[in-house]
Amino acid sequence: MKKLFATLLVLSTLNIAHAQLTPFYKSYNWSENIDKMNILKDTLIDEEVLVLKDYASNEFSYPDDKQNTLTQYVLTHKAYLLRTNNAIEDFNKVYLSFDNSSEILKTKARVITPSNKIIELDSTKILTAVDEETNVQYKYFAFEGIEVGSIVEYLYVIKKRPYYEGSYVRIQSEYPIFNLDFHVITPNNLIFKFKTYNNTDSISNDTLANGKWDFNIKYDYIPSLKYENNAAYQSKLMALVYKLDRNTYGGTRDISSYSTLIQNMYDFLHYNEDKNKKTVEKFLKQMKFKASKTTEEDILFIEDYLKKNIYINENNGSQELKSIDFITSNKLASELGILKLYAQIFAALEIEMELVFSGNRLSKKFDSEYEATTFLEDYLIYFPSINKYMAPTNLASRVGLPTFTLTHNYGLFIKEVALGGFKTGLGEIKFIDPVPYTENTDKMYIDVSFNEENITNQKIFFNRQMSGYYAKDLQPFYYLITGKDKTELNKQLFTNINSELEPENIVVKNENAADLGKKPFIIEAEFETDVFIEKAADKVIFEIGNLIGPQTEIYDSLERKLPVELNYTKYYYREIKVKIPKNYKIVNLDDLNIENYFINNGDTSMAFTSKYTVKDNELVVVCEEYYKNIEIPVKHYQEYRKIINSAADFNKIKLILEPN
Amino acid sequence: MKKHYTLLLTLVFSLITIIAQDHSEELNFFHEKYPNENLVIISHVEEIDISKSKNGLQITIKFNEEKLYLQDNANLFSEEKISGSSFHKLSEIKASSLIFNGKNYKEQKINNFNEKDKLDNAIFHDDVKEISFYYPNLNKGSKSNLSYTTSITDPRFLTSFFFQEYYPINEVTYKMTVDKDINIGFKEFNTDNFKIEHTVEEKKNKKIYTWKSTHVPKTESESNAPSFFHSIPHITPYIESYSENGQTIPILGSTKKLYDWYYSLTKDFYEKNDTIPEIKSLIDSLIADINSDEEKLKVIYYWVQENIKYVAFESGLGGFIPRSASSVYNKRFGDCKDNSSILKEMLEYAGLNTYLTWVGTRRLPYSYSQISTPVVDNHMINTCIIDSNFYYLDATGKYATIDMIASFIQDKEVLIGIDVDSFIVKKLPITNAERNYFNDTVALELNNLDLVGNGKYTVNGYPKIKIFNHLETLKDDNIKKFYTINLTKGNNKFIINSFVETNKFDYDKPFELSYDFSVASYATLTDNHLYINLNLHKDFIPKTIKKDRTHAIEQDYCYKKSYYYKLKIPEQYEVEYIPENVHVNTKDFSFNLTYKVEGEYIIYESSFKEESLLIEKNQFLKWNKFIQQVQSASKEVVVLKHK
Repeated sequence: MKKLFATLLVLSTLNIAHAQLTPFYKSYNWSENIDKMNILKDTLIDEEVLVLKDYASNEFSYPDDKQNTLTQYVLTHKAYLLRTNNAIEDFNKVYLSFDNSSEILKTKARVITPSNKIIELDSTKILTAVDEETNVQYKYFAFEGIEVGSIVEYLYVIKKRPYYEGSYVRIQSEYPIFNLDFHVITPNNLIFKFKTYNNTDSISNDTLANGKWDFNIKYDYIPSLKYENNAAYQSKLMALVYKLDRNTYGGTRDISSYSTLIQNMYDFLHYNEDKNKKTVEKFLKQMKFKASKTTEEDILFIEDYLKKNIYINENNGSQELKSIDFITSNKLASELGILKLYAQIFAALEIEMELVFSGNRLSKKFDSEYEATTFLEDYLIYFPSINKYMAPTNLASRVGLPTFTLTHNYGLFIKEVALGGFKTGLGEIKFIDPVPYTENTDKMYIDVSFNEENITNQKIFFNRQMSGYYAKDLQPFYYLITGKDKTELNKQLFTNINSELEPENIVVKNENAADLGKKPFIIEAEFETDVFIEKAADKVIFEIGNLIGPQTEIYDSLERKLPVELNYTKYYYREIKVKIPKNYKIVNLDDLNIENYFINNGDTSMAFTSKYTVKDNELVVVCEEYYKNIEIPVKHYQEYRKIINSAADFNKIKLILEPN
Repeated sequence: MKKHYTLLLTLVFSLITIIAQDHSEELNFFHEKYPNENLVIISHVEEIDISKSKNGLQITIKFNEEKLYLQDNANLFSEEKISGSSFHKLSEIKASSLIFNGKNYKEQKINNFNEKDKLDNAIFHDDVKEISFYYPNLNKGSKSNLSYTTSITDPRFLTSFFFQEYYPINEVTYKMTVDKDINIGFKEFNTDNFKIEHTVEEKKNKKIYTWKSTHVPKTESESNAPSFFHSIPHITPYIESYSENGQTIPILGSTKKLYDWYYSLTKDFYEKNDTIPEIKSLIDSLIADINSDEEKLKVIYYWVQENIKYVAFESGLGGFIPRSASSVYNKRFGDCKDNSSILKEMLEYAGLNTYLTWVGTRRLPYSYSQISTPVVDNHMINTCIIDSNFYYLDATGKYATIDMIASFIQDKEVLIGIDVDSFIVKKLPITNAERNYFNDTVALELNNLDLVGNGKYTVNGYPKIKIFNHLETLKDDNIKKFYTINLTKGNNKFIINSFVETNKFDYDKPFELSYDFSVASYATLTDNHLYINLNLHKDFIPKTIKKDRTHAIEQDYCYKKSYYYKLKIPEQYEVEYIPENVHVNTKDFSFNLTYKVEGEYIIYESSFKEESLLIEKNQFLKWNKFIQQVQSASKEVVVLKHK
């Protein structure tokens, strides 16, 4: 007892100085007592997997007491109860990745069988893999001895260069979580700022025995959030974000604000711009650039050329892939390299541009009120003179039709300003508007006639026009496909209506990559077929609804929890003209009338309508369907469902033709 | 006349040359020859040297390939990857782009090669290393050149020579230089109707074999086609033996020699092993009250399937040597050899004669008599012999019964290892279509225009295994969605209201699903007539085979689907028209459809049977005619008239 007390005394006098040398992870271990996990074994019996422990701590530490070698220790400790064979297949292998400036200090893994036998994994079974291209290393292993009802548990510690400019942590998942424990441990000269999302409690702050601060959040139980279609699921999970704001030693403030990044990015984009001017001009000549009537056409020309000729290697961070000289002579670039090239080309052509940072809104919403690099995941280039965006590294886009996950989201815009004779970057957070529904359209113009000699045989002329996002996987890549593959692709645009259709005389228009977002991709074909006909004695049943292809039907199963978030706004138009055969009449034309609107705040935000007219033995059916808004709140879910199902209802319409 | 003609041609040709300055003659030639191809392999050369060294045989392959890019999308092919492993060691890798500058090709060498340990879903850990790099500046008319050397560390692992690829090849050459006292054998596959120039030369103490082919068209990549081993012409070399110090050292060349080597890798399992107590007590408890050998086999086989997961560690010889049963038992996972190892030990402890068995899956077209080198097989199972009945057991999957072989080894040969001296080669059967069935029996009624009913769906055999494997991954509402999609009747307004599962995940009994459903507004009513198409299940109708298809179509298994629907005719209605019956019966497929009116019911019965694993090209026409008949029949509608 006396000895223990003396030890404690010594420890406390060494206090801060010593404590900096002993990071928290060293004294951390999993419990030998597994009772706390075992009592949870019979809860929520319908769940395949229970997360019995989810512990994570990010400790920032000065290991040798010098203020300039801050290190981060990330300690992760998880335990899962696996109740089915499927759960075992999902969790029996673990892969830990880290880059070559990091080090794994400790890895432990064990299996606790249903009879409470503990099988610890031998450290020789923890394997290593290296990827020289990305400089990522992996430690991976397979748990040994798992049976149904086992608990798998592992913990590992990574020592790394500290990252503190904004980390987004999701604390909820598709599995129920027990004993959630999240910590950020810091020396008390470092002040971190936190924010929580989706009804997460706020962070608590405790002071540890060694004087360090322990920012933490704890939950005994976090219910699972089940995945729902057409929702921004990942962005709805409970989460928190944290960043380093101030260092009281030295008095630096706003450490993680965007200002340094804005400056650095601006400097990077325009690095050696004057020296590179000749190379850029030579490159412009090589691509046969000629100034056209509008700025937009100039931008499109450059974009089209770069996207077709420069191979972007996203994973490689090497210096040469960022050098204008190397890129233009090898046609290989990294992501940052291509941004620099765009910036210097537009500077040479005096086209004003702003680099925009944003992220995938389906996964995480850009927070316009909290500056953190975690929100800066992807790039756009904004052109103020035409008010349009370009996605520089997305091959399935052209100026005016940027990556849709980045739209309807906020972004950080970096514009160039001149202060005295000196140019620099200035940042502003603005909303990136989504492309309106009138630009994302899928239109069909269908002409149908019957073979008078063989009434079950129809001749159909089909013209399909897709614009905006509907053409994003067609127009930019069409030039790449040749021969048999091209014929296959063309046919597929019809065989996805019915796999038995054999399109003939296929004509394609506006198939150039530069047409994306400007002109609709048009494909037309003819076929002779009987797939839309059913026979009933002397009557003929025409499955007119099947002409538009299969439609989604939303079943009324479980109650919707998350709001609908569409990828993009959309508009569908179908015009079907049918030459009614001589000697026949259609007896159920009124089945063709469908009208469903949803009016929100005086505006019709979504609808499905179909109407018919008959004149001179020609039946004309016109259908319109549109969704003007990206987000549809839960309270309007049934209305949304009704509109979607109306299109499905149209798809089922069968016209009965009776002999006169 | 001839003179003028030649002069004209020369003039025209030089005019073309003047105009086409941007592109090389080579590009013009090949672009014209292959206007729709992305690239052509100008030359593919492999030079193999097999010579004797201090440590046995030294085998080195020098590989060189030059490609010409024919289209604007050339830069899509910038990334190149090559793989090596502990048995195939890579060295001296050189790569470059060749860019045409109007007069000649300028070479741009690649200096940056990145090595990567491949992390794969199928194989958890192996020693395969991948080297990747990028050809700079590729555009239309550019070429790329790649060369490297591979050392094969074990003479048994000689690879085959392939004479065709997914791109056209201008010239492919294989040259093998062998020390005279090394005996080489070769086997050809798919070389009928394929021209290969073959020469054999003798120089000093070496023998030089050369094979060359030119203007090879590409092979098409088509869905459901048998693996490329079935169609691409190739030659498989093997070393029979070599002499050293007056002794002849046998390597390969007969099934016996292959078996001898396999046996040497696995002989631990033929010698008495101490079965660990945990396995003993497990088996004791599993077979406690069981007397019949077949029942014992069943219960142990099912245990291994259920409890040992598939995780493959295939580094070096780990890809060939099974791990001990105790090791597999403790880890609760293993690959096919490990599964075989533990199953063999368990069955033998229970007193059943069980043997390790090598097999090539259907991906490999070879029989042991055709070629006996490691290329012939890629999988290991067990054979258990009870009263001269052979049971073939694959414990890597689940839900397999003792009488049914895995679908991917049907019609293939197995090499059963009996003991150090003997083995048996046997041919596996094709599982009968009647064993793999889907049956749907439904009572239907019309509720106004809504079709409502309750049905019983039964499935057995391979399709049952497939369904169970998928059901394991589903939870909550996704289970209902899965059944809804698979049982859809009529159209996608089909909704299942409730269902009861029987024998779910049962190995022996057929799976049964009782369900009640509705399809809103399925019937069309007009002018006192009701129209209902009773071909509710359209999924059995196969798709028409495209006219330009080049490869045969492969099926996983033979099966039968049958449907029995009993529709109650609504009161106040009578039958005005029922469609004709259809019967088509051939040895490969059959379709039978009948309609009957029995009192106040219409009975619809249809069955579809597919009885061959392969639809050969010469069957396509016949098959399409058959599909037409089936499709036509499925468009017939029942008409009811108001009384």
